Amino acid sequence: MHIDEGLIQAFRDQEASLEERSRISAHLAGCEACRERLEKAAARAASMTSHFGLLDPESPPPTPGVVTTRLKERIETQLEMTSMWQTAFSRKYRPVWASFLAVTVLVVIFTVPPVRALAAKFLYLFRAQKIETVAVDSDRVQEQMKKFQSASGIEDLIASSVKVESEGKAAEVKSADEASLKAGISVRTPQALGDPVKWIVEPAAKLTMQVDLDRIRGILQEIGRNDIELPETLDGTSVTVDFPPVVVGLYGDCGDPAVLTDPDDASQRAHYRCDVVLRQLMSPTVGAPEGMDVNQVATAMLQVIGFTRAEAEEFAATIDWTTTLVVPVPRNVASEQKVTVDGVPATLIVPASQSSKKFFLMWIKDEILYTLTGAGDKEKALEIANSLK
Amino acid sequence: MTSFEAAFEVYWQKLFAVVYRVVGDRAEAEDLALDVFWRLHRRMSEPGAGPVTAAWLYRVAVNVGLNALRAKRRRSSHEEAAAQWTTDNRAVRDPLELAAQAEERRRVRAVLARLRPRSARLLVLRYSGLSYAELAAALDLAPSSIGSLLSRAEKEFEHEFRKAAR
Repeated sequence: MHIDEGLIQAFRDQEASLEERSRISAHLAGCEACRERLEKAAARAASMTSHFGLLDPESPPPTPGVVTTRLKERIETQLEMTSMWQTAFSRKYRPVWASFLAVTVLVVIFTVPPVRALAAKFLYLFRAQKIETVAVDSDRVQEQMKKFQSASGIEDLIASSVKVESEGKAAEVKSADEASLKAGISVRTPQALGDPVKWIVEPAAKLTMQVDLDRIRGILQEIGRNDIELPETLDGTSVTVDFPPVVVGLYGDCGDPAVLTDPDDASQRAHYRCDVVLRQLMSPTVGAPEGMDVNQVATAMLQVIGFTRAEAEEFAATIDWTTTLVVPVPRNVASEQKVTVDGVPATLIVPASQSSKKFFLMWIKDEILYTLTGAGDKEKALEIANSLK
Repeated sequence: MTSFEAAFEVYWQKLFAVVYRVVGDRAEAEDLALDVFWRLHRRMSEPGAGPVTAAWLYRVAVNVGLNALRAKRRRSSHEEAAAQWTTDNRAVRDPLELAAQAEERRRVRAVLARLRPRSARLLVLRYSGLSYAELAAALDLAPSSIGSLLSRAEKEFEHEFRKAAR
């Protein structure tokens, strides 16, 4: 009985146990064939050692002390970025964002001439077709958001006048085809990445907000926006936001796979632990009373996130709000650039800190909104996006 | 492993060397090795996170390195070849030998990028000095299977290396 290849290898590498070593030595003494195999293995070890020896660093690695600052900086930026994105995109905050949007929508509806308000029973639907970014001051946004979220009436307002209907729970699916079927879109896969760790389809959700004038007035007063006049005629009308189902593809190292499909908010946080997350959905639609001056809606929205009135008006005038999804980018924390991927213009947002390689890329093609989040540089983001089939 | 700081002190240089062997560029290796440590940090701050071991660090380091190597090769093999030429070399001063070494180094990495991931991981970590027991722990393999897997990986490597030479 000859010695198997694995043992020969272990013997060569001095990794065989004491007992194995003596058995192998005894066998080798009387077996020409196995001696030859051992010689071959030894020759291979020599050539492998020489190949891999060439790869060693030409000078000693930097000491831990030298890189500590960079490590700290990276960890801190990472925490900030992660929390920003998690907050902005987590399911938990969707109602807040949407109500935030709805409230500002309403704020402005109230300021338009009463003649328009009379047409308020009709919904004016618009669907995002392109993306623009707006640089915002992160400190001012946080301050405003905090005020808004901590306003005493906000929970009451959301509880009593905002209704979120969700069709079921997030579910894991086996393939892109199954995801397509479930989400009603044609799901695409990035060829540069191979198979995802998981496909998840998050259910469609619809948010409806009934206007309750008294409560909104109270809140606006509390956040210091009581300078805006609210016409009585809009009391009782409604604004809707439709979130289509979202197909989530999780790629690379995601940590513990069990938490990825956890139905509560933890699953969302877990998604951002993956190397790459690709989300695909029909562009969301907002329905608001017809006749609304969208430009004014936007101006108010910008003011709520920290713009002065003049800044808001100037920016709002440059955008076609009926077809554009506007993404606030906090300056100091992140920077934004225009790129072309997938044959269309796209927006790439990266951390301001050079040492933190993370990307957030979003674009809209054929009415499908794609967002690609991950660890890596710009080239990696573009490579993945351009490999969508 | 006691604390994040202690792990960083003990493993930083080791992991840098592992990643450097794979990618062959100091700045990139430093960047990627830092990546390994922020992942460690993230993991250690997760509630209910299990203990983080040296095995985990080596696994993440070799994966991060090989992923970067493959991505880079997909983007441009020319650039990398050019970069190799400029890499300063050790004792050898003969320009012909220098060129031959640079070529061999390039080819070793090219083969690593092409090998089956499991084989590439095994070879990089083995030739970074890990024992069979450490390899088994890092790559989640049965300790008794390391000998035969390593033997197969080496043969695969030699085969591909000869192919690349032609």
